Amino acid sequence: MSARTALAALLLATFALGACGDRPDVWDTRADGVRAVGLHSSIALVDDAAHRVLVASPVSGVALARRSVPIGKGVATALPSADRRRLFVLCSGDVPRKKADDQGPSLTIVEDGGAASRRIELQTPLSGLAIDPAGRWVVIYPAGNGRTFVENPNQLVLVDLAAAPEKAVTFRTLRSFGGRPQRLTFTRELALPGGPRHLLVVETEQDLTLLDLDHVQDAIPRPEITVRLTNGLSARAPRPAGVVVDDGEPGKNDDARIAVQLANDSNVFILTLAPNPPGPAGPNDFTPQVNLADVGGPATDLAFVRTDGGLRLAAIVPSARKAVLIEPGTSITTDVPLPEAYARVSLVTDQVAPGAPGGVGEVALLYGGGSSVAFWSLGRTSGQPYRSVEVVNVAGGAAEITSVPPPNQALKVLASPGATGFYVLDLKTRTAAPLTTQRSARIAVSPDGRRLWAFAPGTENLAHIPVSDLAPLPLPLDRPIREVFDVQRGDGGRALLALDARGATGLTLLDAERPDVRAGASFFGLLLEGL
Amino acid sequence: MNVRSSFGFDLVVGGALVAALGACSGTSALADAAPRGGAESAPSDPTSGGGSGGAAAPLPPEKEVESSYEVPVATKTFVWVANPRSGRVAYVNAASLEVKTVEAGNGPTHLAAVPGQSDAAIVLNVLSRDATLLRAVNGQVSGKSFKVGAVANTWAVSADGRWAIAWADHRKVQNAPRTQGFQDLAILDLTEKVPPVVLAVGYRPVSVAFSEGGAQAFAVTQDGISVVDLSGAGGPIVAKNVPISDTPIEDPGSRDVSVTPSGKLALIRRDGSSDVTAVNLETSVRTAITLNGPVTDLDLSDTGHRAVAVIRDTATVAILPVPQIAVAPTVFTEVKIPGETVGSVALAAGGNTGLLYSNAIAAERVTVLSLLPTPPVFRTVKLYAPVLAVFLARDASHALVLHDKVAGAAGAFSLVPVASALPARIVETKAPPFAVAFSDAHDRAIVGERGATPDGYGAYLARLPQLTVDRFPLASPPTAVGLVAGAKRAYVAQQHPDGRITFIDLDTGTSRTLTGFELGARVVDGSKP
Repeated sequence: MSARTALAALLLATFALGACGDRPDVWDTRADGVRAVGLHSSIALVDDAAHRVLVASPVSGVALARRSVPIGKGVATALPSADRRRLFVLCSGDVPRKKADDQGPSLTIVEDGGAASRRIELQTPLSGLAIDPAGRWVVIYPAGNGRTFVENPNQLVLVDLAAAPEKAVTFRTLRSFGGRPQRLTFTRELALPGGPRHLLVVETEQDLTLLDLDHVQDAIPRPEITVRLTNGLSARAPRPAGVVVDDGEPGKNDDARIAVQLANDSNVFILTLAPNPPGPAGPNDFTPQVNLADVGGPATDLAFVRTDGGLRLAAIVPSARKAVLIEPGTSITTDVPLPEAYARVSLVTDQVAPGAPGGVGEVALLYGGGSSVAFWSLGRTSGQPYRSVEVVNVAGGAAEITSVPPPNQALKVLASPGATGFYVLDLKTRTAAPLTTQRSARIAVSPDGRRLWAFAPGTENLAHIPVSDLAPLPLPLDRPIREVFDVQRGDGGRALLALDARGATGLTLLDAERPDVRAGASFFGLLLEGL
Repeated sequence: MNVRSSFGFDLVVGGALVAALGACSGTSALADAAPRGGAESAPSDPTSGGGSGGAAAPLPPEKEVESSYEVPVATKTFVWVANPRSGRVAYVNAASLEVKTVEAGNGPTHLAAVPGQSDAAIVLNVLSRDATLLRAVNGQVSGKSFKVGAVANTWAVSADGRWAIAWADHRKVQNAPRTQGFQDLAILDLTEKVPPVVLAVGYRPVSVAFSEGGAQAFAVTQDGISVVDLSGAGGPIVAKNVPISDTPIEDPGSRDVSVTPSGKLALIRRDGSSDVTAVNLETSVRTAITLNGPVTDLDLSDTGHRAVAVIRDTATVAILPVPQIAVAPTVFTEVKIPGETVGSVALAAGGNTGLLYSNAIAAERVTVLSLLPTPPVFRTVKLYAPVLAVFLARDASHALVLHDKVAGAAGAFSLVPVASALPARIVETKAPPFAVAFSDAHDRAIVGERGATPDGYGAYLARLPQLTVDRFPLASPPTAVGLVAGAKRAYVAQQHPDGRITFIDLDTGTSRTLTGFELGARVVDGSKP
């Protein structure tokens, strides 16, 4: 035997021995730190180390089905669709790609339950994900924490979920005057001069871009419209801090409006999406007409409201302890002094008086103040441009409001971070029922609107609170809780999944409608399954 | 046109300038109205500016710095607004409400509409001391620069749009030392047949006007009337200076000067004097026309064929035939207005109808004087508040009377049928009205009001002959009102750091406000590379 032959034999033997005792690398990775996303009838555990999503679905009773869905490497973002029927997982792949079989960036769409999935390959690893509430579009954008050496922050990848795979992806680089996208907003369908349109509104640090999504895939794509918020005379850049959109009056196609609040300026921008002026046709079939209204301080929230006097834009100005009603057509402002410096406004007309005819005056809920919330009735009365502001005191404040879905849509959960308690606000009776907790708690509202779940993260403390009587039922679990999910069960009932992220992730499964820890089931080491 | 000077005399430049403004197709606040009210009122009379704005102190609600924008002017379709800070002029298409900007020179400030062309305006760039002629053709605006080379703050533009004269009205310059004469006229031939030229005229001109046809220009100064020949082969020259007093080196005192459209005759009224002086500008011959008491007002018709003098002490109106009065100074018609106090007159276009009134006392009436019949006839219209100023529609069908010192109200105006003997309608306002404009069709009038609080920011659209009125509240203090004939819209310019203007549709009464001219013009839609 020659020396070369002997060496080859030795290498072969060594390789064979090594292969016998080897196991996948995933077994050497940590299984904690998993992201959990609640879907309609399942929860998805994003197992980045194993390049998969483990979907756990309560089937019936306390049975739990599990499916493993492969995803790409390097999870950047994982978000559910608005209806929680899909999970979008954005992965950066191997960065940098040095070998032929290195993975590229991708977007994986996992259907609720994990029975189906779809993977879209991308060109550039991006980390931001914006999802159309209507479910048609996903926009991938650089969120500033990407892994590539050079990024163009104005590069967008638009994914049309309704299009054929070969036409689903469109790449666009937005025109920039120095800004980079900070927030993306999908409008609902707007009646514009050229027909119904869905727009993507992109806020940068200094301007606004409108992209016509219905024509983004044209053979000659329509360019985006950039609305610069600076007049070019000052280095100071008004910084957009949020937009609200109104479609205008039914039957009209020239009165859709977008209002922009600014973080560092007392003006509010109002864009009316008007027909193009006569003359040579522009690339888009509408043009934004810009208007300003000074509201006396930075607005922290906006809402289009319909009053007895017509459409108004309500701006909340906590620094001046007031709200301002702006007539969009004339920029005329009317101050409404408020009893407290509220920061947020939410229209609750539909919850208070569902089906009420328009124009009779809406009702808005003001919150984000120190010790109260207020009902703002927008109808006009003699001598003042609104009907009333009625205060409901909530000690501890209400920094966050969570809506209770139908059939109990008249209820809101008021909570503040770190508070040992919360309120259930009844919009119809204008009462606020306090519920106290021994320690800071988190509240989960069931999607069927029938119950609340209160739990203290990191502890075994869990309580079930039916909204019908708000009588808490303690449900102490055996394991510390990280999150809870109230999902639909395969048999039509509802299940509570309490996640314990210690170790290889465990779950406690209860019947959500008749919770009883004695009848529940626990599952351990979920991330060790299916590898 | 009546102009009150800051150095103590009133000046009336008659037909030529009125005709020039009228040629702007009724697109400015002054174009269609015959504003009066300065003759007897105090210098602070808010109506002396005609259709442009008052000068109240800066007001809330918007905490704003001084507006970057000047008072706009309107042409057939566009409203033009200069922004000295940006060096641009914003032009708003009053039909589509599209806002665009165009580059001008350094410090574009003073704008004027250029008659005779559909949409053209000229802006004076005060820092670069030049002017930019802006002309819109098919919606696209092009600019052409002209050297000015003189300190100026006011425009006079000939009726045919060929000549533009930039001059400095010293009344717009605060605390100007006496050694500043402001005597330069920068004369621009907008057809570019003659290069720009700067000419020196008499001390501190207060008005510049053109003769019919534009062959001559007249600068009324403290030294007399400087006559500029624009038709010479060598370009414009100062042909002569015509003294308007027998003692020109003495203080001229307070006086009105009116020049006929032909440029051949000037009529001068002096406070406290029973004489009206007619000056032949060709021969410099002066003729005294002695009336039966001190003349309190003198108005020359825009056609230049008739002047009307008012003698308040004797309640007499003297109707002077022009130019015959210069050679036959005793041949004129006197009309007594018994039982009335009349000290001022406002003549309608054509000079066949005048409104007589007094704002020296709290007179709650105006007298309609019809000059066509022989002898002239008159009737008195009862009002319900003291008269401050009178604005006549060009067709003399209606008048709009601003009221003064309204007991129990912030302000008021009255709509007065002139062509028919119907009662007037009084309208209470939330703040003192300060600016008026009539539409070309004489069927609409716009009135601006400006108070000390936001409640007093508004405009009124009056429909004629119905005499109905709608109020439009405004978001910021109005500075000027006007009409854009081609778009059938009225506009109300407002004080706002980024520029604000409200348009009111004359037919539907719907209003739209545009704020932020530079912002609106900076929308990028990809239509341009």
